[in-house]
Amino acid sequence: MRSIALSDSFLEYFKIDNYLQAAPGGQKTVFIVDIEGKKIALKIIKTVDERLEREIKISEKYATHIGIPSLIRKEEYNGDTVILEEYIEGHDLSELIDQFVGDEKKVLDLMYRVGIILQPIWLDRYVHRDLKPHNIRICSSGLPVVLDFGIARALDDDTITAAGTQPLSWLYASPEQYHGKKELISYRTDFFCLAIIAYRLFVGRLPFGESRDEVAESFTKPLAKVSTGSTVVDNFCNAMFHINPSQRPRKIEAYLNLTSI
Amino acid sequence: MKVTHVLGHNSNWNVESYLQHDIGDFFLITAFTHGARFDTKKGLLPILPFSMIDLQFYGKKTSGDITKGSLSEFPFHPANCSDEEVTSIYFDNCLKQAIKYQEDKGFKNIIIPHFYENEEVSDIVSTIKNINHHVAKNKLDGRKYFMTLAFANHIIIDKAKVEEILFCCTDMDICFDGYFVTCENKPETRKKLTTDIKILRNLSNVFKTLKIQQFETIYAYANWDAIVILAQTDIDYVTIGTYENLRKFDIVRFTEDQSGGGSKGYYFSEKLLNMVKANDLTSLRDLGQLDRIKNERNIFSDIILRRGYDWNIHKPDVNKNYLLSINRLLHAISAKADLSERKKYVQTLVQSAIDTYNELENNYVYLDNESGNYHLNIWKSYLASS
Repeated sequence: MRSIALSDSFLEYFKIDNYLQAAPGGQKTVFIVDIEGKKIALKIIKTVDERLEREIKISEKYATHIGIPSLIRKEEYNGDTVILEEYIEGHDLSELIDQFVGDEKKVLDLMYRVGIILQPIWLDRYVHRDLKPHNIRICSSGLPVVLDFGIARALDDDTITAAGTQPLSWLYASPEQYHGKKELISYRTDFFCLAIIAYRLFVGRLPFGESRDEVAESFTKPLAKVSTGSTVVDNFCNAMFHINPSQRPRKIEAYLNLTSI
Repeated sequence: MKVTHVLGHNSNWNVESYLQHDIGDFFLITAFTHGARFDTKKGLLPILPFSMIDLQFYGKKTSGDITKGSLSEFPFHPANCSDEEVTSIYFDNCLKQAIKYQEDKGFKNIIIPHFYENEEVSDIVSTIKNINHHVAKNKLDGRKYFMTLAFANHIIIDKAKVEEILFCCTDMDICFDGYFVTCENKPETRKKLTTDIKILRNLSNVFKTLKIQQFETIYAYANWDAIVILAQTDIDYVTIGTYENLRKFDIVRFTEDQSGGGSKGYYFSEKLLNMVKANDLTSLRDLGQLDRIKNERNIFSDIILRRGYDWNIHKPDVNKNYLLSINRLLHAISAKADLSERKKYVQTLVQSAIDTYNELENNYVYLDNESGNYHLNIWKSYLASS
């Protein structure tokens, strides 16, 4: 990771006592900073393109929504956009997978909570499009927070990135993302990705392969029903695991119902 | 499932078969035949409470040349529009007025028309979204709203296009209660049913998906290949019709004069799952094979199979034989609530029909063209693989 130092004037302006770079530089650099004794996530954005603009828009729109980091402040500094956001203490879900393996209640409870977090976003016709363990943070309280709406899409807007070139995480992507069918992206894309996460958590491995090529091959034919040893996990996953989004649950309530044990 | 009579030419036969012989459960009035005065027709009065109307907007782009039948009696019908009026706003308004018209007439099932000649899937999707938005704001209690999906042949054979339409139809915002599905099968010459497995597969997928998503479904202008579709999913209304143009969705009907010529007609055999040309009955009779294909417990069949019967397609008993047989078949199939049992049952019917054809050949009866077995092996393969 390329290390970036913050200038004294920057530190003074934002009243930062300490900082730690958390994510690589480039278009967006993320720091964990101490401001007046409180940890905060600080993002410095060099050029606000449509993707980042959308991420900011979603953060602003859902600033008070539980389960999404709150936007504390946004301002311009020396030509950069600086965003101060609630810092979530805890761990990436990717670091905690072992704690979920074989625990159907814990897995489906997480799917329920993430569904509740995303419900208003889905209802507002946004799609996250990049749900994966790395983008779900488990707070010290045990509750999840959904991060990184960087490639979220507003379904009623013209899409900004061609589906084939979007920087998504292929191992957790849906068939319509693999096939580059942007017209089929919807909240049901997120349903599919969440089911991949559920399977990964419960079984300890991915359902459709461990490489992009393997998954792509799996998505060339109808998906076989999965059998994990847990009826409720199977019901949840098999309801979502359809190549055609039209066959996945239509209502968010149906998604949530499938998480009940 | 409600077996639903399509009321076109000679619709009194359908009504009689319902009132006197308990054939069918519901009715679909066709605007083309019955026009705007349908509710003053004495013959239709008894069945109006159990009916819906298809306003048949199918021929829009050729409306200048359309064979209008009685369609232009409806003031909002695109059959009345001149070329300079052809805009999507104009057509959306026609659709909205068509909904209001059915509400005012007291129909409980409102069939929202759609245009067959929306060439692009994006146009179809756009119309569905616009009308859904309108219905969401104006829906009346106690009514069910069915959006028409008129699958042109070039769409139904393309599973990607079908999925785009289903994707839109099953979105969380959709407020329709169900879909009125019709499909352009385009059977080959001298065949009555399609043998294109892509059509069977994609059309079945349409019904299965809509049902999984808890929509009510109407299979309109269905032929007896509805048997194969019904084998795999519940359908709420399946239409049955007397004449071929009421059992086959074909845009040509709305653009060209298709007045039928003389024909002796066809005998529908439950045992063959097929229509046999009246002319072929002679060799069946002469070779002692008539009983092999004869419908049981069917008074119309008994009449028309009598020696010396003067066959004509415009005779009621010829058509009522089909109505009674297909009504029984469809009800027997839908009565199997367990879908895997239902499929097995239909597979048994299909195998039995294939065996009957083989028996006929063993006895030197070789039926060809539409009378022959051109469809059953496709059905068998399809059901086995689906």
